[in-house]
Amino acid sequence: MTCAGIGGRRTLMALIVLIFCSIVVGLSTCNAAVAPSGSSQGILTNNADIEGADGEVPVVAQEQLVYGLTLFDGRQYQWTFCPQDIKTAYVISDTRNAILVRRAKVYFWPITGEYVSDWEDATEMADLAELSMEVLAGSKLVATLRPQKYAMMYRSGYMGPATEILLDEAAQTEFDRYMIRLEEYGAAISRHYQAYMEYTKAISDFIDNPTAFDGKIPKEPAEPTPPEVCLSQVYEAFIVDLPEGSYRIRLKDGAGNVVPGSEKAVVAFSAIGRGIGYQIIPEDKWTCPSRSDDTSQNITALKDQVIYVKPYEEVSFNRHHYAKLTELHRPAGGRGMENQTLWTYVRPLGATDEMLSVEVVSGKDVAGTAVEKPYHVEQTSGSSLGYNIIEFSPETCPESSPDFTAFKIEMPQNPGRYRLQIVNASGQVLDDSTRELRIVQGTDSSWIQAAAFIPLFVGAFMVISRRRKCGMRPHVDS
Amino acid sequence: MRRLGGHELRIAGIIGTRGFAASVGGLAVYVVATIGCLVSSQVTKTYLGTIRENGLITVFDPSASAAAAPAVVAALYLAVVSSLSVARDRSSGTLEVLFYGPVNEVSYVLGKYVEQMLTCGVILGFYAIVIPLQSVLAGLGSSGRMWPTLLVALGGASAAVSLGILVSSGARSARSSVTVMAGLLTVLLLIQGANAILDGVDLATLPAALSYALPLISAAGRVGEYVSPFGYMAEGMNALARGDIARYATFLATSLAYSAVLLVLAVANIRRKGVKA
Repeated sequence: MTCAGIGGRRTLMALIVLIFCSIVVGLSTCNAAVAPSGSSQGILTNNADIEGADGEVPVVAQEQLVYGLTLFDGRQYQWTFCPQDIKTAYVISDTRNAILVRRAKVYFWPITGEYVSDWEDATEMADLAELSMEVLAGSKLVATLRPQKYAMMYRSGYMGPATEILLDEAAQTEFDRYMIRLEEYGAAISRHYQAYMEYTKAISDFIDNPTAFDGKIPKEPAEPTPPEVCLSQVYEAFIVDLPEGSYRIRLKDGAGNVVPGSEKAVVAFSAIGRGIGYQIIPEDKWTCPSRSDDTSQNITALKDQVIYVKPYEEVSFNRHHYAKLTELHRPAGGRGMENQTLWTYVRPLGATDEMLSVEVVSGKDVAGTAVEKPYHVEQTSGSSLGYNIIEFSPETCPESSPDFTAFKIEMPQNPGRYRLQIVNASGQVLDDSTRELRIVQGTDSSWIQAAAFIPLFVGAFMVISRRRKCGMRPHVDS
Repeated sequence: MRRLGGHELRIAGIIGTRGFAASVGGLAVYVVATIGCLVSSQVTKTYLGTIRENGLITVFDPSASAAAAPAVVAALYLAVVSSLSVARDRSSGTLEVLFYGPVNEVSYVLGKYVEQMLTCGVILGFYAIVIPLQSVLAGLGSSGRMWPTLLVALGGASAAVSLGILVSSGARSARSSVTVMAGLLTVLLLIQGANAILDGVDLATLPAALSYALPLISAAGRVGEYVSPFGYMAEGMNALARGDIARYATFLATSLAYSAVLLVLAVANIRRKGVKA
């Protein structure tokens, strides 16, 4: 071996050792750095406490300036917060988002890997009315915001999602109206209670003396319906509505000084794409739905299969940014997702006023059509496992509401390629709603693997015939 | 850079076809094609199992998707064989002998590229016959997307072959060339695999140390999209799945440009290192 060869090999070995050491050092550093900066001061763990029978892990929270963020996630408003250690917040561009400023106790909870704030006991900034928020793009001042009144609107009741932010006068006016509606509802409830007492008394009287009622059973009073649209209280916060881009925000007090610890970067990101996604529920596995998020996810199904499809209007975002938007207080959230895309369902299709139907099309012929219907899942009685999915009817079903609403599709009998698409009332196919629907027989044949050996047979034939042609038959020396 | 002469192309053609004839005269190509077809049969069976279990599957096209894994097998083989080519010729003295004749660096590198791409054509030809046949046998029906899928495989293989030739042009011995190439391919495949796994994994379940490595894996994945032949292949498959013709055309153009750049670098490498062992 030449000196150069030996030298090269040594260099290669040295390089491998260096890489190995780097990985080991890197991983140990990572382990050491799992707790984020500042957490060593913030968390006190006492071994004696942990070992004791009544062991507890005390945490020392630090009071600091915290941004409480009510952010729109494409479908509804979610709440997260931005402690001092997190330097960048994420919002969806061109949407209203509320930023509250508080002084709250914050600590890092390593078990779940997230910051926790004592928001209940958070104190308002003393001089909130004098504070202003500056939004800067680079060094250019984009906007100076003052605290605004706002209220969250819950269009489908308090149990539903908050989908809108009302501002200033509109917030106050709607809130006042809502309070009036609540008062009316309260009064109606009292009246209903009174009427119900009378009703129960009447029923007792009826049982005692039916003839006094001419055989007519007293009618149960109707329960008043609560206000469908609900509002939160009116709060005060900075409302940011930014076009796509990178910004910096900071607070300034009445004297024009920057409030220490108030400076953060804000990334306003927009949707990457929009489309129609499907949730597909096989009849024999209704609790295990599949998803078809975009046109690259076509549906291949067995013939005679029955599926229920639920179409959704959907939006795709950068997965990292979206994770940061929804769980900013979790430092590991979104890590490693920078190159990934996430589809999120915005609202179900079919629940709108427009009459939609799902079609299965073969060439130019429509092989099947379905409209949206409510369904009820009925468990089979007895010891046998199983269930039946039946069309929901308030008269016949024991439940007051359906288990799900969907478009029922019965797969065509003939294997082949079809199209599944959504058509509106005027017969137009909705954009991005088309999926290829491939109906297959699905036969598990051992010939599938046998076919893989075709190249080997061809190769053996080629090699043997070539050797014969050249007169080079292989022979074994004794 | 000087223009490519007609005689250089002619000589490249001769080198390529002779090398190709030698390749198809051996069993290796057929064994690789068989391995690829076995992989596709396994993928097809997996799809079949999922369909039977769940009643349905949501993928782009089960038949065309079954061709993606065998395409990687072909690209791996061609990359390794390409990484042997120049280094072996140099260490055996063949390169020096060839250069006494009308062969120069350009015609030689092009010839090696043509040889491997023709071999790739044979492997993909087998795929074009066997994979649809497996699909029909499995009752999945025929796919209209097999040819565009094989074109994606061809683009990826072209990138892999060029990378192999570049590595080989810089190596002194066939052994070191194959070692470097195998290491490089392993790293590139690991990065790609890690990125693919990360796409669906619940990151909260990962060990904290690994979670800190995620940005590194993600960044490596981003780089891999541009430097890895498998990255080009994945991009081509994505474009095909989304029916994005512009993106598909861009994939073809970029994979060809990638090959061209690497081949030019290989020519420069041979010029710098010389033809003697």
